[in-house]
Amino acid sequence: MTDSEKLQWLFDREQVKEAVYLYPVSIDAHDWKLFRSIFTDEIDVLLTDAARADRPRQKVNADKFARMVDGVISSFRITQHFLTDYHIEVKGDDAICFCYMQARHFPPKDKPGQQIWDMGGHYTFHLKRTADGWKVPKYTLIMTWETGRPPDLAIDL
Amino acid sequence: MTDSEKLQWLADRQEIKETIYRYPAGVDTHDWKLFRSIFTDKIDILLSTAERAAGRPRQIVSADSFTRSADRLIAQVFSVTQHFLTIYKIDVRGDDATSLCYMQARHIPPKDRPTQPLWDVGGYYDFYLRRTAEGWKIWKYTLIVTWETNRPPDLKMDL
Repeated sequence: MTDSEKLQWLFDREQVKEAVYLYPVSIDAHDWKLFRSIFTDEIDVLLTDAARADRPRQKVNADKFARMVDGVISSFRITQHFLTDYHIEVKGDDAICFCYMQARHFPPKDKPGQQIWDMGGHYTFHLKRTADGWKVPKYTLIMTWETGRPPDLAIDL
Repeated sequence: MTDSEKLQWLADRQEIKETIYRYPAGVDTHDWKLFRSIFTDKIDILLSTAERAAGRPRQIVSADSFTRSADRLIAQVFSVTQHFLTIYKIDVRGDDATSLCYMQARHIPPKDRPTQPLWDVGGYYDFYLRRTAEGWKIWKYTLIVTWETNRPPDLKMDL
């Protein structure tokens, strides 16, 4: 690699991380405009527990997807998503970022008896370089463990 | 951006991360010299739960006395603490920077209080940094605690 290529390698990795970390930040802050801005207009998603990971992926409209996530997250009083990027690969204008995740979901005030839903797993984010920076056209959440899932959760994980 | 601008952007971010990560390292290893070194002489702070944060006055404190009170709180009240931080955002504008950092922390009870439960805390920091001759320093920061379990009833900190 030339110095200029090394520099671009470092720069791309750092920008990919920034784009990915907007995901937990926007979810936990309920900033759905910011959340929507992470994605391309159509996204290819698979959100599943590990035992059911061979199920079909879904192509969804990013506006609708943001509203769906809003609905799920807003059913909790507070959430906190901890991500650590473990692997980043950039090839030209495409990138992959693999992240570990642990998240806590606290019950709403009107359901004080509901347990804290804790979960862990990993994300694989695919990113594409665009004029507005790196955007996510495709991602996968594999949940490897959870405790205290609410019985009426509005998402089929 | 030119190559030279990209390099500066990367170097600034890396130095800022190093400054911020000395915060948990200093607290959990009780290295109060290291902890003190990340701050300017005066710091503007707000340490609060999310519920009480709105409209609550910030405080300007001397970094020396702030370090001593952090020492008293951490070293003398818990046998072990662990602060997990992940830096999610860094914005650099010239000689000023801001950073958003997530935190989860565990506070293990002291030996003479074996029945005190573990105090777990989560939330985020907003750090404000300034470029100085000795590197990036924090001159202002906010801690917002968004959740906690088992706060000790006699905690000497008004969160």
